[in-house]
Amino acid sequence: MSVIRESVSIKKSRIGRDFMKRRFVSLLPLLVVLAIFFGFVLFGLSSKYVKATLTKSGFSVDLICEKAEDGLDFIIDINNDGPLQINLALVRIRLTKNDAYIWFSNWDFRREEEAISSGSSKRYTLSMELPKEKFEEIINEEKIGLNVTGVYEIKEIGDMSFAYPMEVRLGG
Amino acid sequence: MAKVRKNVAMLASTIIMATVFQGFTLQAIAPSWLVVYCYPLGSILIFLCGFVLGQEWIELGKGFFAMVRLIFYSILLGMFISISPVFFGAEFANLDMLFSFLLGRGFIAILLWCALGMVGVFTGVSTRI
Repeated sequence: MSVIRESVSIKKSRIGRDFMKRRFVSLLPLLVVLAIFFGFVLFGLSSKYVKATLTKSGFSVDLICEKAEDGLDFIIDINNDGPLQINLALVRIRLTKNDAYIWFSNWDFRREEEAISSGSSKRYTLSMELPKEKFEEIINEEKIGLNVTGVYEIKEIGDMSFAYPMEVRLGG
Repeated sequence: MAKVRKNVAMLASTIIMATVFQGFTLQAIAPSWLVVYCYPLGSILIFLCGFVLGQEWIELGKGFFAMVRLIFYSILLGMFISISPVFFGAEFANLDMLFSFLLGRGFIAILLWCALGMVGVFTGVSTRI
């Protein structure tokens, strides 16, 4: 009787082992398929990231400030040395004298129309009107402090901000 | 053959986990599904990678060691991609996202990956008996 029981238990364990063997399925092919998909994502993402970073670091602003009748005129060159097109959305200039705030102005742009393609620059002339007392406060200064900030859009990436504190000589 | 399978498993896992790593560090660039679901996606995928590593390495100890290597390789590859613009002339200061991640949530993410990966290895080895 015990011999029969033993043979039954051996059979059961064999069946169990065979069952486990049959159940084993390697997931390596699934991993390889996923890796191909994620590899494409990674490649696209990396090249986009490199281009976006180069565009971001290739962005620069040149500014000339001139006296006008009741304020200041700014000639701004927006340079795009990066590989992607940018669209200017907003420029804000904050005027300071000895680090003290005087005035600021905003200029909104229609970003669809203000495209600056790769490796080119665009010139904008912006006018800042000042109240009389503020104008008189800065008009005799040789140099004024400006904080040029704004937003531009890198195509297919999104909005980026910029900030350039600078000291300029008043011309005109 | 076993060595080739192991290398393929390690390479495939590294690519997958390095991509998930970008969901944490390159949030402005990465696809939105990768950014939004990077924690659950990373958890599922590290478990799957651990599972396959466990199946391929068979022994638990070696499987765990392979998992540590996988996490190391994927973070290394992810960091290499994050700093790759430097090789094309970009400034190093633009890489603030990588450093803020590594100093902040990175430690927790790596611990989570480690734990789930080890569970995956254990499960993978168990199915290979």
